[in-house]
Amino acid sequence: MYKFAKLNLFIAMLMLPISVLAAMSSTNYMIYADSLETGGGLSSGGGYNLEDTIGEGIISGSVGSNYTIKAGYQAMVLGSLALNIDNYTLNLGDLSTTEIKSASTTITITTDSASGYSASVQSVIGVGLTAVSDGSVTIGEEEYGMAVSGSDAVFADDRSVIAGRVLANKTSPAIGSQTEVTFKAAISSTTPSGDKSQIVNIGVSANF
Amino acid sequence: MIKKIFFLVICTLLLGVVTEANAFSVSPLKQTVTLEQGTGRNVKIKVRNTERLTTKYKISVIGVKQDDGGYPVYGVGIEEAENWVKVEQEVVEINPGKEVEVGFKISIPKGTFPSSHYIGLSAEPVLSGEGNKNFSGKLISLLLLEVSGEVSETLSVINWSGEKSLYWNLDKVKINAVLKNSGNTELPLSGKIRLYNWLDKKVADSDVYLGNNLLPQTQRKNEVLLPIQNGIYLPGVYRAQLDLVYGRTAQKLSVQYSFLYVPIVWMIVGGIALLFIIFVLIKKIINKKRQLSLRGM
Repeated sequence: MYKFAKLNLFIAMLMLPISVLAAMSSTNYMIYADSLETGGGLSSGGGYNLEDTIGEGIISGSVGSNYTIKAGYQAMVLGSLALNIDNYTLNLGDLSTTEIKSASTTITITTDSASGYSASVQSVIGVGLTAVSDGSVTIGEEEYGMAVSGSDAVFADDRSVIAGRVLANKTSPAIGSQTEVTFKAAISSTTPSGDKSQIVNIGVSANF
Repeated sequence: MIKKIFFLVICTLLLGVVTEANAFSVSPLKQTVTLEQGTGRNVKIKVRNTERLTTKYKISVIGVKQDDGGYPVYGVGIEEAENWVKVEQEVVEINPGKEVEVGFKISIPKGTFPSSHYIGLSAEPVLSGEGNKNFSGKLISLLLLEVSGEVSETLSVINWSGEKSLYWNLDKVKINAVLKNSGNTELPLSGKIRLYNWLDKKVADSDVYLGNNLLPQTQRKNEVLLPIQNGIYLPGVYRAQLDLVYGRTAQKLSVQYSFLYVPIVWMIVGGIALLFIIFVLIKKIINKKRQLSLRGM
C-alpha cells in the first residue's frame, strides 16, 4: 500500500506543470480562466488587452494612438537607381507537347539605396496559357509561368505571371545585381491552336 | 601589329557591348512631402540617359502598395493619391549621357483626411519598334505624401500562433505573426520575443526583425523562430510573448501564444512509469484474487 502511495505521488509530480495552468500570474501579467483543452479567457497587462488560448494564440489584438502631422515638411533620400534590360523582345516560338519552351532576359540593377531595391511585375497585358500553379511548368501539360535566378531572386520555382509578383529584392546597395527572368510554357494535346501574346512591364524602386 | 589588331578587336567588342546596353537611372530614391488639404507643391526627379543614343522616356505617376512580405508593388488605380499628382511633361527626350529634370505638380484635394500615401514617379524608355517589344521596365522614385492633421497609429495582431499546441522538440519552432496597420500612417516596427515557462519565468528571449515600415491598411506576414538557447527546458506549458514597439510615438503591444512542451525523453520515462504502474496494479489484483481463492478453499 505504501508503494502504491509513492507511485501516485510520482504521477502527481509528472502532472504538476499541467495542473498549475489555472493559476499563472505575476506582477505584470495575469491569465485567468485558462485551460489546456479549450483555452480561452482574458489576459491583461500594462498596455494591452487580449484573448489568450493555449495552442491557438491570439486571435486579434490592437492598440493605437494619435499624433499630428504638421504641413511644410519636405525631405529627400538622395541616391540613384539604374536599370538595364538586355532583351526587350521575348519569343517562346511554336509550343510543343514534348518540350518546355522558354525565353529569358536579364535585368541589371545598380543603386546606392541603403534599404536596397525591389523589382516586381507592374502590369501584364494580354492572355497567356493556363497559369502554372504547382511550382513547375511540366512537359505535356498546358502551363505558363516565370522563373527568376540570381543572387537577388525572390523565388526558386515556376510561378504565374501576374501583376504584383515580386521578382528580385535586396536590402542593401546593389552594384550591377543581375536577375535572369525566364518565361516558360508547355502545352498538352488538348490545347487549342492559336497565337498568344503578353506584354509584361516591371517596376523597380528603392525599398521603403 | 598583332597587339594593335588585338586591342582594336577588344575595343570593338566593348563598344558592341555598350551599344547593346539600354540603361538609364532616376534620382532621388525617395521624397517625403507633407501638405495641408487643399494645397499643392511641385517636386522633381532627375532622369539620366546612360545609353549611347538619344532616347525618349515616358514619365508617369503610379500607385505604390506593400505586399504581405513588405515589398513594394506598383500599379495604376491602386492608390487614390495617384490622382493628386500630375506630370508636367509626359515624354522627355534625353541625349546620351545627359540628365533631365522632370516636374510633378501635387495638389491635395480639399477635404482630404490626414493620412499618408506612397506614389511612384516613374520613367520608362520609349523603345524603338515598340510593337515587337513585350518586356519593359520602369524606374520608380518613391514619393511619400502626407496630408497634415491628426493621424492614428493603430497596429492589429491578426495572428500570433504556432502550427501545433504540443511540441516534442523546441528546436526550429516557428510562430506565425500576422500584423495589420489599421491606422492611416506608416508604422516603423520592432519586436522582441520572450519565452516564459509554466512558472512564468523568462527562459529565453531575442530581438525579432519584422521588416520595414508597415504601410497603412497593409498586412505583414512573418515567421518568428522560438528563441531557444542551450540549456534544459522542463516539460510543461510555455508562453511565447511577442512585444512590439511601433509607430513614431513608440506604442507598445504584446501578444502571446501558449503551448505544451513534452520532450520525447519525458514521454518515454512517463510511458515506462505508466506501464510499471499498470504492471503493479495487475499484480496486486492477481495476488488479491489468489488470496481470496485461497481463503475460499
